[in-house]
Amino acid sequence: MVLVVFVIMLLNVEEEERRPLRLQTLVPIAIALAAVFFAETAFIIFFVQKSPATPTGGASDVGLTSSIGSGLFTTYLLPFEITSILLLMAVVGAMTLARRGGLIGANIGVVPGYQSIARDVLEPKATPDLSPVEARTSREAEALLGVSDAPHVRKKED
Amino acid sequence: MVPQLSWYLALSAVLFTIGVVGVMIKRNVISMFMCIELMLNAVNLTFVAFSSFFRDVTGQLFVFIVMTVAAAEAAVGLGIIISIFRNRESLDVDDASTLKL
Repeated sequence: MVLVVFVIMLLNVEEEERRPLRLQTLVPIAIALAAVFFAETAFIIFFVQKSPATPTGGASDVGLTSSIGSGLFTTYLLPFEITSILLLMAVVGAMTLARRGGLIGANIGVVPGYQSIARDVLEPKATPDLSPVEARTSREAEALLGVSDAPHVRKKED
Repeated sequence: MVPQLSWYLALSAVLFTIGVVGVMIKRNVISMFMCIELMLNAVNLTFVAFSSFFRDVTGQLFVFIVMTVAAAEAAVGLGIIISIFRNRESLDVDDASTLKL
């Protein structure tokens, strides 16, 4: 959850515009199903009081750190190790995914945030002038260079 | 009044349903992501409730593993979200429907 909050901060999400709700025809069915569901829940809470009682007596070891640890390191040792490998793979994968990759050319990308890049780096045959391109995003760089119809530029509208 | 097992199961069902409905209705990637986390936590609640009811520690071990998988999923999923936002500059899943027929 903390990670989610950090990402929301990072992405500076603006106020989303209200768009018409999709699946408009399913709304009555959804309301009916919700009514059935809440009736079922109320039935469980108010009428099924006679669920079998929790077995009492004797000191329970459920919830103790020692019992969890002994279970985790004896019976469930293989899942424990597999989760460690899974976490390692997730860390490597997240770093790979979040790394800044190429967007415009094969070697260069303009990621959000102001930066100035030499013209011939972005587009080898763009213009003869040598003033650098200052852009905030890839789209701005494309508009400045006028290369939005170049074949190697990714289309964003499709 | 001591909470019964069925109360925990009802709460878990409610949480899971909120998660499912959120995934189906919301169009924002981060909202859908948080709804998936909600579903995982509802299942965790069921595990813990049954573990406490049957006096068996296995359910809590499963909760450990589920939480680990949820952490891995959060890391990779948020990496994918950052990547999508860099490419499309939007968090709407309808904008990322290139693979749709």
